[in-house]
Formats: sequence, C-alpha cells, structure tokens
Amino acid sequence: MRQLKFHHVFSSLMVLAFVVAFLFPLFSTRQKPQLTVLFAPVSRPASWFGNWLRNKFDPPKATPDDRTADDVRDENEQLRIALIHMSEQLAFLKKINADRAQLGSIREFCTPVQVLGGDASSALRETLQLNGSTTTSIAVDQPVLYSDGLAGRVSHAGPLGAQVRLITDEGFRLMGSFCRYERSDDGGLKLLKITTTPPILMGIGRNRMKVENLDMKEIEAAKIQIGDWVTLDDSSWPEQLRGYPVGKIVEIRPRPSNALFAELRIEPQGALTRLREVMVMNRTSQATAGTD
Amino acid sequence: MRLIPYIILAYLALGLQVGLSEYVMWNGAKPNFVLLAAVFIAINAPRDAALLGCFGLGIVQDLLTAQAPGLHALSYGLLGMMLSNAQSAVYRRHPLTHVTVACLGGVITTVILYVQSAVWSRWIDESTPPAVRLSLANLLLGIVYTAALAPFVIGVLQRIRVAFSFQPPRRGHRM
Repeated sequence: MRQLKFHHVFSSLMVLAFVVAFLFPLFSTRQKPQLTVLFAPVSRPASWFGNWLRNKFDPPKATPDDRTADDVRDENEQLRIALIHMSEQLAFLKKINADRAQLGSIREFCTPVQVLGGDASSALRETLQLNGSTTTSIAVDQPVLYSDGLAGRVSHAGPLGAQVRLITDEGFRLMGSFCRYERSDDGGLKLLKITTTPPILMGIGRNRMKVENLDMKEIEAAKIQIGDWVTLDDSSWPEQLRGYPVGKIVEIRPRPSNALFAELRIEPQGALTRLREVMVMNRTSQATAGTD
Repeated sequence: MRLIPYIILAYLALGLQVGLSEYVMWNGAKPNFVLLAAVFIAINAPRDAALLGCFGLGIVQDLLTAQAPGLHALSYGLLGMMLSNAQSAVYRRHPLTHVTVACLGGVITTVILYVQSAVWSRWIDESTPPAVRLSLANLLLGIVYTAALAPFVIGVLQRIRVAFSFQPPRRGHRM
C-alpha cells in the first residue's frame, strides 16, 4: 500500500484551505466557529493596555463646537425639560396602551457584554470580539448598541465567543433618516425630522459611513447640513430601535464621479472599534431573555 | 520543535492581535503579530514542523476575523513553504532578514486577501462579509508597519529560541 507522507497531508490541507476560502467563502464564513473567549486572558489585558496607551499619547479629540458656554447651558436646560416632558408622556402612553409597553428604555432589552478586542486580520475589517457566547443568549443578527447610539449587529456567535460586525465596516448597509434639534417659536428645542428620500448608509471603514443616493438639489432643498443627526429607520431592525442615533454628518460634498449627486460622510459619536463594552439587544421583552 | 512553547507563542500572538492591534493602528494600518510569529517559526523550525506550525497559526487567526476561513492559513502555509526551503540561505539573527521576510509574508498575505475580496466582490453583493472589497493602500501600509516591528519582535523571539528546541530533541514532545 502506498505510504501516506507528510507532504501529501500538507498539500491536502493547503488545497482544502484554498477551496474553503476561494470557492465556498459564504458557506464557510457562516459555519465558522468562534474562539474569542479562549483568548480573553491575553486579549483583555492587551486591550486595556492599548486603550491606556492610546489615551495617553493620542487622546480622543472633541468634536469642534463653536457654541458658547451659555448657549450649551441653555440648550442643556431645555433638553432636560423636554426629556422630563417626554418621559411623562411615555409613562402616560404606557398606561393607556399595553401593547406599547415595549417602548420603554432600550436598555431593558439589552445585556451588557465586555469587548475583548477587534478583528484579528490585517485586512482592516471593523468587527468586535465579544466576551459572550450563545450560552449567554447571544445570537446572530442581534442588534448591538453603545451609550451614544447603534454599534452594529452580531455576525457570528458560538459557544466560545461572538463577533459583532460594526456599522462602519466596509459594505455594511442600513437605512436611516435625518433629523436635527431646532429652536421653536417659544424658545424651546424641538427635534425636527427632515424628510428626504430614505438615505442608504454604507460603512466605508475607519469609523465612517457614507450616503450616496441623494442628489445635491435635494440636500439643498432639505437644508441638510454638517452636524445633523442620522437615525435608524430600517424595517429589518427591531421596531424599538426606530429613530435610534447612528451618527452625525461630518462632510457634505458633490460625489466625485457624478457632481449632481451628493456624498455625505457620517461618523458615529465614538470610535466604535475601541469600545470597551457594548449592549447586545438579546431580549424580546423586558422579562424574558432569548433570541428573536 | 516543542509543542508547548509553540502553543504559548501562538496564544500570545493571537491574543495580542485581538486585544492590541486596534489601539496601535497607524493611519488605518494594523500590525500583524501573528505573521511575525509565523515568520519566526518558518525561519527556525525544521521543514515539516515549520509548515504545520505556520498553517496552524493561520487557521486559528482565520477563526478570529470577519474574512473567509482559510485565507491566513493558505498565506502562512505558502510563507512556510518558501522560507523553510530557503532556511540555509537565510541569516536568522540579522534584523534586515527579519524585515525582508516579514515583508515577504505581508505581500503573500495581502495578495491572497486582496485577490479573494476582488474576485468575490464582483460576484456577490459587496455588503456580504466575505465579499467586502479591501483597501489595497491599507493592506500595503500594514506590511510596512509589520515589517518595521519585525526586528524587535523576532529579535526578542530569537533570544528565547532555545525554549522551542528547534533541533529535534531526544526526548519530549515533538511536532
């Protein structure tokens, strides 16, 4: 019988790797197990050290803001009043409509999960490795939030780890809408929803997203400007997240390939790849934990 | 080659890659600590152990990324084949060797990652994870970054290479 030699085994492994990577990437990516949790003893302290190092030598820059301190104080006060008012209204709505009880704080539907680190590839994919797994009710496609807005969606989950694909990852798509705070006639602040063709947000990496499906005329007509908010308005996401903040517009310019269309750059409030903890929305109601 | 030191090296390299690489990113480029570990194994270990060692590092790294599995395994396997054949011509302790082989490894990995993403992004929707088109500029910058770290990382590993017992020992675990 012909003897099996090392180079036969190694060649077979290489051919298998080629087949899996080049011929069946969709299937193999879906079936890929997650091992993140196994590396937590090294990746967690490394992540803590990296975060400390980054904050020491390259602290996060504040968003440029030309408002005076008095304006900010005034706005803050108005927002507090608006918040109290809305909380009261929400409490009232909850009482009169049991079906809308789920409109309570999103936090109640979420489980906080520690982040162990980012993507291990040098390919600059924007993902987070979570210190959570299917044993802690994390499942594929669950929305992931952070304190300032939407972070992404669980892309892989297994008994030994879970991975989140961030909204800023290259190619990630979602539908949104624009809104901004404006002063009302009585001097208060009101949230103004800007009606346009629904913008399609697409992740472009490096903590940014872009919108390319609006033309310049529409942007000008709707008076969309830098600093306006983009919120989630997508039927493929849970209803509770409608209107949840995605990011702010940081740049508006004509699209280089077609000047009639606009290219809007959107950035989340925080650096998503450097989050230390996220909230995984893994509860369908406030009492039960589980997958949708 | 001893199995336990290899597993510890792989564990540390992969743990650092997951935990640290996002924070030490420079102009959108990330260092690849796992590639440096693969280069160290490839230039020191006997041929068979080097091939399996590099392939093993790649396959575990594949499980920690959003890319299709097999890409890093294939890249590091090819790197192992090239370097283990050229071991006799390589001056293992010289920093320039470390930079050169890290560049070679980076180029092989980049070509494989880029070709796969370019091919699949033509066939299916780019928003699907394995078909996401990668930025060549960032990948190339990543090679430079990893190569710049190579003399330090591989230099330190060369000092403790005795622990790996790359020459086959009479007793103990072998790979």
